[in-house]
Amino acid sequence: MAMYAMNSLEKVVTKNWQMSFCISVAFCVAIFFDYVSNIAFGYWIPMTVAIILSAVSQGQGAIIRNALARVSGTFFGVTLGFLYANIFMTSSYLWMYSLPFIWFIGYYFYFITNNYIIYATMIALFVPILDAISDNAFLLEYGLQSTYFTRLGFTIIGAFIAVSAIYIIHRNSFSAQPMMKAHTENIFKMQAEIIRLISKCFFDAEFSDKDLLKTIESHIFSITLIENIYLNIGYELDQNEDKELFYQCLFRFIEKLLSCSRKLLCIINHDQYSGIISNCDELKQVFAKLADKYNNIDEYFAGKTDNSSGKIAAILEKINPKDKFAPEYLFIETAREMSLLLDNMAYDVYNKYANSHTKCNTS
Amino acid sequence: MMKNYCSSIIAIFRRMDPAYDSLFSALYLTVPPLLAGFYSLYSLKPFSIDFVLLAAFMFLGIQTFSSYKDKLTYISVFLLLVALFQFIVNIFIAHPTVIIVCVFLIALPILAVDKIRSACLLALTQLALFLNGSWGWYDALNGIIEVVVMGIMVISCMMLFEYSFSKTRMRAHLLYLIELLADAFNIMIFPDKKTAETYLVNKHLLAIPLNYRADFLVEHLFSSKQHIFLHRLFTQLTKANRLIVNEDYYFQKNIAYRNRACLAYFQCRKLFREITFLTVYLNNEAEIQKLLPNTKALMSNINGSFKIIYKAIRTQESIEATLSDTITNQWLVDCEKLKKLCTATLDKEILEFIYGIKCLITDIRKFEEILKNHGDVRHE
Repeated sequence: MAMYAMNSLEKVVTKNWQMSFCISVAFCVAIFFDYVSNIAFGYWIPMTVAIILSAVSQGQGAIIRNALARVSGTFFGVTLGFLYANIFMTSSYLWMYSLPFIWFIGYYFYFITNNYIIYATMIALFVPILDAISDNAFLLEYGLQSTYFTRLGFTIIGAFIAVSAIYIIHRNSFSAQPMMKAHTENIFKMQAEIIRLISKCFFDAEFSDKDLLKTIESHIFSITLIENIYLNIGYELDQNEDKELFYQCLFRFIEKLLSCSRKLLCIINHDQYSGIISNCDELKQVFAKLADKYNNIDEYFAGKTDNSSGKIAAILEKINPKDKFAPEYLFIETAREMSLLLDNMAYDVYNKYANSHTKCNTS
Repeated sequence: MMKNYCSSIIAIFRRMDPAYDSLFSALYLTVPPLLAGFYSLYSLKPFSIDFVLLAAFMFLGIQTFSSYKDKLTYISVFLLLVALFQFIVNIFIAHPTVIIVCVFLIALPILAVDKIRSACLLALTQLALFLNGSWGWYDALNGIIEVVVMGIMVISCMMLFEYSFSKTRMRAHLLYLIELLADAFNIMIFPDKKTAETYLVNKHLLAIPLNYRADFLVEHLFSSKQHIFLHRLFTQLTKANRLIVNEDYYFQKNIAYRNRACLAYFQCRKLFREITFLTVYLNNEAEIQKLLPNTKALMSNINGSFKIIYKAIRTQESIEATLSDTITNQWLVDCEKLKKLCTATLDKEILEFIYGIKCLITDIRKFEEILKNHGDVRHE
């Protein structure tokens, strides 16, 4: 176990150094280009590289998306800036006071939509305007030469440097697939822990509010994170339709799993094991087995099967109809639902998405 | 007439940004650069583009952190790097090779650390802007003073925003959460989309064009409206959790309000779990109606109680009893009769529904108690 932890830690450290090396090289190359070109606004190249690579924590897909958005955003930004400076700012300096309002509206829509093009547009619009105000040289800053030919050109060069760097230098260290895999694993590990804690609380009345809350928070954090990774993963180089279908299936599965967890949490909030349905030890074993199943979900994805769902169904059949109003019945029913869900997902992964899952694992 | 136009415009903005998150984020990103601009004008110091953008970058960076410690660490690292880069660029502007080597040697180890990588990347963006500036010892020193002033300005703004807007933000999140709970409840019980929408307080969250959000993208994967709403609730609960439970507040009035808001938030979380049991209602509506004839009356009663809770938090009106005792007691009596009569034939889904409604009744009453005893959630 300690060896495994050491290995994964080493991998993370190596990956971070590879990433860091790639970004540093890309940025230094951009500064070099700035000096070599020796044209005004050459700083636009390293600025573009740094802004595009700031999406590094979200993976390769986010960097490619940012690069595309940055180029189109710069086009819109310099066009708007050109019009603004040549129509309004030359007529009266009072128009300058509208700038904070434009800034506010632009970023408001950026935060609503999370569309990077708007962010890039705002930067491309404001950096030259502020530059122009500070140098008192509007028309020089906003001539056609300084907008379309230099700024837009330099943005394209910057985007090219950033994207080339992530393709050429340690390409795998930027892939979001391992991150997706690690957090998906964490989701199932936390799910197993939630089941274990819920069962402890229901049958033994041992309730550690802090532990449960901490586990739920970690569970939710990983789910939110994989949703954000999924947003950009489509832009990655080795993404294909199989993988896309696998992720879609995964999100539907997680949603159903969350519904079941909510039901169990609701039951422990209101009730405890009352003893109406006898054989507490057998029921505890059922939940321990279910937690185990989620803990070792990889084995089930690789084709392992068991009869735990059938065993839970057998327990349910034995329950006296008049006891079905007891919360225990719903508690066990939900456990069966969770077990069946995993069986179905494992079947799908093994038979339909086997290739994409293996690729996800190996990457 | 004017009032109608205003309320329509506000309604559109509310649909785009229901908990005012984007509004406050944009405000946070506007005020410090604006102050920096005014400072430049009134201190008769030459206007500097770096000075204005520095504040914006810093605010973009600290948005992801909840605790003051993390925010201050981030600001310190960012300012230190910016000052260092400013110094290097100003002194060695005529020797590009030295700049490139220095930047590479500084950036390489810092970018390898997860926690401060984003600060370093923003500092590199700032460095690119310095390449366009003037050079010399005087400018290097001047730039470092600018950076320190900007840091003080951003920290002051951060405190000011916390003091002024935290309560409003927490309350907005709570209100939106209750709106979504009401919507989700309606979606679970009304078969007809049109009927459901007439009851919705919030209608739908408006997905405006050019949208690129993870929650909307994942929502499209679900086939039923019920699951879409449950997912939307899940997303909002996560956001509210961050702001109400996890966020670090410095001022006592905000801490006190947070403690009260937490009670309402945890109650909302319980209601969310109970609503999950109602997803089976539409498939068994006729059967449930036959077994428990008061169900429809109870449903509209619960629906009304969501509206009362919402109104109680939004306005300062004192809360009345949200659920009618007659209807709920009658329904519970019917349930007891059913338990004795025909459990053998009852489907699992119907049992789930009954259990969910029972828990919902208990927790709505508890919510009522919380609002009565800790009514300050409503105020301010």
